[in-house]
Amino acid sequence: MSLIRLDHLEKYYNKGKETQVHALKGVSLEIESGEMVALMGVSGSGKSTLLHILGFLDSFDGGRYDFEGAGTSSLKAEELARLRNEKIGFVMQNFGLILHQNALQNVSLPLLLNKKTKYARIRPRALRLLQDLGIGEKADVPVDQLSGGQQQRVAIARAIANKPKLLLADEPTGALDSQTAEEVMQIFHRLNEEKGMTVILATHDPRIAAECSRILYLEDGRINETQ
Amino acid sequence: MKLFQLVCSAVSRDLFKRILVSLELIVGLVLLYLCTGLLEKYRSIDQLMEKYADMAAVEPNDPEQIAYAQAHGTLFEATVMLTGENETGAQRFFGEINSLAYYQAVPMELAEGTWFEADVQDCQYLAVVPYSLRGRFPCGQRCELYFLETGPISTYVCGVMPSDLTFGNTGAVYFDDTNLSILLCPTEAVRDYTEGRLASHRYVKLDEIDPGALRVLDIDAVALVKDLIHEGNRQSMAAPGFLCITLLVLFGTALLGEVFLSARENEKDYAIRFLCGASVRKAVLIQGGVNIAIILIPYLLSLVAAFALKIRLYLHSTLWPLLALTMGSVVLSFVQLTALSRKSPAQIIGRRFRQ
Repeated sequence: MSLIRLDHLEKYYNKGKETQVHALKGVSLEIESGEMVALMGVSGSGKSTLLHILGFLDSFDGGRYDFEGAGTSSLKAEELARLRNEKIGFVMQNFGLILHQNALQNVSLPLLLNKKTKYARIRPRALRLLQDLGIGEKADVPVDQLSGGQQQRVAIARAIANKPKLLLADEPTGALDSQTAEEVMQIFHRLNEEKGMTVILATHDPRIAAECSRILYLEDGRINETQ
Repeated sequence: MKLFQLVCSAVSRDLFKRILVSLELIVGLVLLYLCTGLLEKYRSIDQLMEKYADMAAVEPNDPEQIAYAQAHGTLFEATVMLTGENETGAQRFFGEINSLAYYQAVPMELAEGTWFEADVQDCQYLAVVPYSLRGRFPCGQRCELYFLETGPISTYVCGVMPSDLTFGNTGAVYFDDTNLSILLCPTEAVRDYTEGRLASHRYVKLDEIDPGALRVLDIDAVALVKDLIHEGNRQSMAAPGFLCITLLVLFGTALLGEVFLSARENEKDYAIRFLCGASVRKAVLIQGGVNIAIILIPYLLSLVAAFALKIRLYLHSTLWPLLALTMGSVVLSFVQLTALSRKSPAQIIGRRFRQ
């Protein structure tokens, strides 16, 4: 069973207006559990739009999206939020951290939002995640005092806090130097190989894409695949 | 519990800092309010002076003192005799006014001309109580006082002595002509006083006075020697006026800056919480909790401070504007939240988390 199955997915912005944009034009694809997929394309090709729909951040206007074999179009906002919290982790280009909080508080956020996690287990779990990613000693440091690489590690720790099935990364190395980018990619590989997480990352960098087992090209809202 | 922890987690480290920023801004507004109150006070005296200017005739104690005061622009103790426009002699009022400081010590109602209308017919005495008893016998209230010599007497508290003055004889029931130690005025004596039978110099410099007392004394108007205090008033108004404008510009700018800054920050934090699995409703709820903490705590502290200062400075300006400001800020923060909840989190994420 595929983790993700898209069937002729359509997405419009400003639908029905003069400024209407047809962002995704009948995108169909299947992604198996445990895959590491690179999503490439020029700016405006629809990479982020696709990632947002895959991560239930945004809705779609046509077609079908099945996650773990079940349709998602009829799910309510609360159910989508629960899926986002428990099954999906996000890593953003600019890290997407709450800057006035420390690393531990940032990592704790999805755990606090997870109804299944007991409050007493949140801090130890967050601390262990930070230690696993090599920044345990930075737990109490406000994230705006951390380097770019450290901030991205905090973001990854937060993304995997609830042991998600799917990790979505939007230009995760775009704000990092090449050495730090390589370190971050190693973390993604480790999560993919050791934890079996499915990783989909949008990137402009062919070297980053080359490290993935599968590359999808998005062009003008349509997908072309190269193995 | 989890929601509470989420709000606490959202504000814990940053709360103190953000509250301080808000507090700083709101304290500025409180200062502004106080300065406006002072200005209003001076303006009221000016208006009062204009209103009764043609009724005032001056009988100065010492011409040399007046000359000195005019030369140096300072105020001095003067005896002002007030007469009506119709100088039939049927009514002659006597008022003793010490200085501008006297006016600064009396409540605003006096300066604004809002006379107290208390019914004191069944009160045997009007009382001026020592400063230390002002909490027990508040100005403007009826009470019963017990004296060994006279037993219980019903009184109407019309004033409070300054904190640095004491009564020579706490059991005395009389007008003291020689110093500042009026304790109780028999209502009959007040009538005698107004009829001129006890007319002599009586300096009544009180820490607090109920305007009703003046009503009872049948003094319908108070007036100052305009020429003497005019310059002093202008000088007094210049500093608070400048301060007022400066504070208005400074804090207005800072407040707007803070509002826009916090709106941007709120939007980002909201998107991050949504990203981490909060529904729109929950993300807004958490942000609402943060906003309330940041707005209400400083405002409550400021209101308490403003109230304390108002009492201390005898400002009778109302605190409703500050309360209205608090409510306005709370409403604005909810408007901001409503606007936030209508935005697409995906668009915020796309805009804010990409280079």
